[in-house]
Amino acid sequence: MEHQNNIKQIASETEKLFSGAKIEWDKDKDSIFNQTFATLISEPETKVVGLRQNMLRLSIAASFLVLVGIGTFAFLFSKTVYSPAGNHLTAELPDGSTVEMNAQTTLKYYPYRWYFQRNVEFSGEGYFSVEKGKKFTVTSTQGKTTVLGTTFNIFARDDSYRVFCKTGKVKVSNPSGEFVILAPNQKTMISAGVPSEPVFVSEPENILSWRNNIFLYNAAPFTEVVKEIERQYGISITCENKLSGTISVNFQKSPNVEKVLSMVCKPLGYSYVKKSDKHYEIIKNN
Amino acid sequence: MLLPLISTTTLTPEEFKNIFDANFDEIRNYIFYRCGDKELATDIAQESFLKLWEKREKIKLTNIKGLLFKMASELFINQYHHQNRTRKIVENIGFDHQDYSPEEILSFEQLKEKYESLIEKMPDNQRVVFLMSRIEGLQYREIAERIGLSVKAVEKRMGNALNYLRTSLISEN
Repeated sequence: MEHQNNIKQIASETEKLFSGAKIEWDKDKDSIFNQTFATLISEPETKVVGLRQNMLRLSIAASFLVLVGIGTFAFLFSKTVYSPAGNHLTAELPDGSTVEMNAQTTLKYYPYRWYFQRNVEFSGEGYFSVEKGKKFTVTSTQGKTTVLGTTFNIFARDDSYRVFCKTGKVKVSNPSGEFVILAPNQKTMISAGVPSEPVFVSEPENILSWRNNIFLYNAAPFTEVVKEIERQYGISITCENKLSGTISVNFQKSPNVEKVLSMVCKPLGYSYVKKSDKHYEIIKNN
Repeated sequence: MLLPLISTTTLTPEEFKNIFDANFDEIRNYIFYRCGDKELATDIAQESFLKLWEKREKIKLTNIKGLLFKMASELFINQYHHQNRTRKIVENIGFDHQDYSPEEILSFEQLKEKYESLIEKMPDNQRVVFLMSRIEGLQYREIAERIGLSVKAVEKRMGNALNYLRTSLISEN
């Protein structure tokens, strides 16, 4: 009974105590809303991404970029082999195929693409020995030669594109896709933009003799022979007038360029003058 | 299996403002009853609503009041464990005495003196219920809804609070 009375008394006393009680806040609800939330909630959707998630996304993006970078590098990475004037050079390709390169010849290929695509860009003259395997393509501005595994010679300089097939089968096409197929010991050339019908070569050594530093010409334009001499000896040859005539000649590359020059000049009524160490001029005899 | 039934929505700024207006003072009072620190109570209430806004994309509208009280309580427990604050609850409450007579003021001061330290020492869960009822004049049902208890449990805590005051007063005398 007394317990109940006490409780009642306490209840009424505390009620009296707290009547009129009011917690006095420094800032009321509205000013807090305006200070903290008004701008926050009116901001356009900016996602609050957790740091963890952000890191995850970043690392995914980073590794993706690295992969793309490596891929692009591997895709674009190319190797260029250049055989300068006066030089012969043999290039070896990743699958063991070799290219014997005559003077002033350029070869470009993509090592990391090699096992998907055997493709070389080529200008100059070279003797290819291609290992058996996937399609092997030699691209020049003048034309394209496609093989599986053979040996063949390509001459791709200026306006000339000549291909000789020694073994196997070789497909030669022009940039617009017209093509001929060469059997062993046949040759073709792209003249006026079209590959010519294959021609049988009875003395194939004439075409491949450059590999042994022997140069054989049969009714060849004089200008072509002069250009070959320039390349083989790394010299420059100028002339007063346009050179004309054809020549049948063979010579071995000897240490003495003057011997070779006199050999080709005399029969056509030309002579040569030494201008400097690496410069000769050819003049017509009167 | 139940998951698809609980639909969640994204709060619009207007909805958020309404929820803020309806609940901010209650949350702030609640934390104040627990700690007697007005600044801490304001901070925690603000932080609760910031959290609500961050989670606005996955909100169940059915019991948002309960959710807010729960978030505030968790924030309070986390902070309170770091800082040992003194609870000056009664001292920090303002009282409207404008139309009190001098006698009434005197009796009020006596009451205040009598209960001040007792209320500060009252166990947390009893004090929250006790002050919600006394200061805000809330029904047991309303209190139950806020702090996630049954009405029976609120009644029990209220009884415990009065009992606590009674035994403490007896032992003091």
